[in-house]
Amino acid sequence: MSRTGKSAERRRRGALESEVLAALWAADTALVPADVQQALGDDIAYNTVQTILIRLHDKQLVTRERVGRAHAYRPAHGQAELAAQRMHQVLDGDIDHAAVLLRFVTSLNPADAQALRSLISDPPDDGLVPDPTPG
Amino acid sequence: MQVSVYLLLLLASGLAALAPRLPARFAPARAAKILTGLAAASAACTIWGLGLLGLTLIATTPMAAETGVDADPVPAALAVVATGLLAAGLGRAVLTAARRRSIQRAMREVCAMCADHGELAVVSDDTPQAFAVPGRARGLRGPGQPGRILVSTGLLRAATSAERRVVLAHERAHLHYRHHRHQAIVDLAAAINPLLAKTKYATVFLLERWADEAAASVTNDRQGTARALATVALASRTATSSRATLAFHHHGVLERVRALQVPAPSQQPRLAYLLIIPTGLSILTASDATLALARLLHPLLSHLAG
Repeated sequence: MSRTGKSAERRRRGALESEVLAALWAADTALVPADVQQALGDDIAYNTVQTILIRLHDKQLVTRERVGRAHAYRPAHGQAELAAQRMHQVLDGDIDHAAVLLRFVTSLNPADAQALRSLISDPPDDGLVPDPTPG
Repeated sequence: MQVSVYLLLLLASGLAALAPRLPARFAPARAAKILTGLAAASAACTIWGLGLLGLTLIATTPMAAETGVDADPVPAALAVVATGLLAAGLGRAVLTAARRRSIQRAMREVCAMCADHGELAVVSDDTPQAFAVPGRARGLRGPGQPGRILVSTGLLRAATSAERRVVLAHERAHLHYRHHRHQAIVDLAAAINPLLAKTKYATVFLLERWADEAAASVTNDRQGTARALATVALASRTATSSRATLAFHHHGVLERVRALQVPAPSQQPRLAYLLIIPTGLSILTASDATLALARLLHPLLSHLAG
């Protein structure tokens, strides 16, 4: 094993930071640590959430305001709107960016969208492999 | 000369034709590596074969005739065509490399505009988007940069917390396994030999499958990973005007969801048959063709040397 426990721990912490940040961006309002904990929908300790929020604040990736006795957090916007324009310039300017960018999903045609809907609303159960015995 | 140089070009085409047919039952990580290797081998055969054919033009020069080089059996017209194809292929490769670099630089700028550090960069955009943006190796032009995950607010809002975790794990896998390097190799190989276009898209598809499987294993939830993919794909559909993309891509998401709904493919393809033998064959053929050319031009070469 070339990876030490320390670097694995650092990666896990980085992943949690991204998750918390993503949850803040997904929310319409500022979130207090308890909201974030709930939004993550996982058994992450309250203290861990709070530590991460403080660290994100130190890094100026989030802003906070006092709400009663707690802090409520919002993502720091930076130039996120301008960035969107720039991103669209890149995507629209290149026909074959599939071969350059690793993109989560690409467009669907109507038939595929329909098929996709029926796939997830009705996932095949455990008998996934078709029964080989003839009927 | 004659037989082996044509055999070399035949190998290049054969690899290009066979590579995308790699069966889907193989684990995507290994399959993606094999396709990348085959694409590289095919591109190398293409360059070498066309180059050797082009070099036979030397045999037709007056100087070669004076030193006693036999007239080459390769027709001069063919040698000229080969040289042209080679130049065109190399030219396309240079353009492709430049295009890749400029797109990736622009995407790194987009990430930096969103947040100048951290793994996640969030762009304010209603279209659900997520990209893995490769970092930069430390080099002459400054310190290195780690890879980033670029997501849009549209994606984060359309997804549940569990689905967001899948997206992040998927993009992280792209960065961790350096998928952009595989992609660069097949992209350049296809620029050199356009017959490799199918191999290129098959590899891109396998890289997505690889990242899907990695996300499924990190989250320990195949069905959840399938759902996350479907949710984001359906959300992007309502948010974007559909643009003309290759038909292959339309089926990408559907096939990826289907693949996640059955147990993970575990069969490891045998490297020996699929990669080592074709590559070895290519090297043998290339050596034979090269030796033949050297033998043909030997009188000229020894004249120049002595």
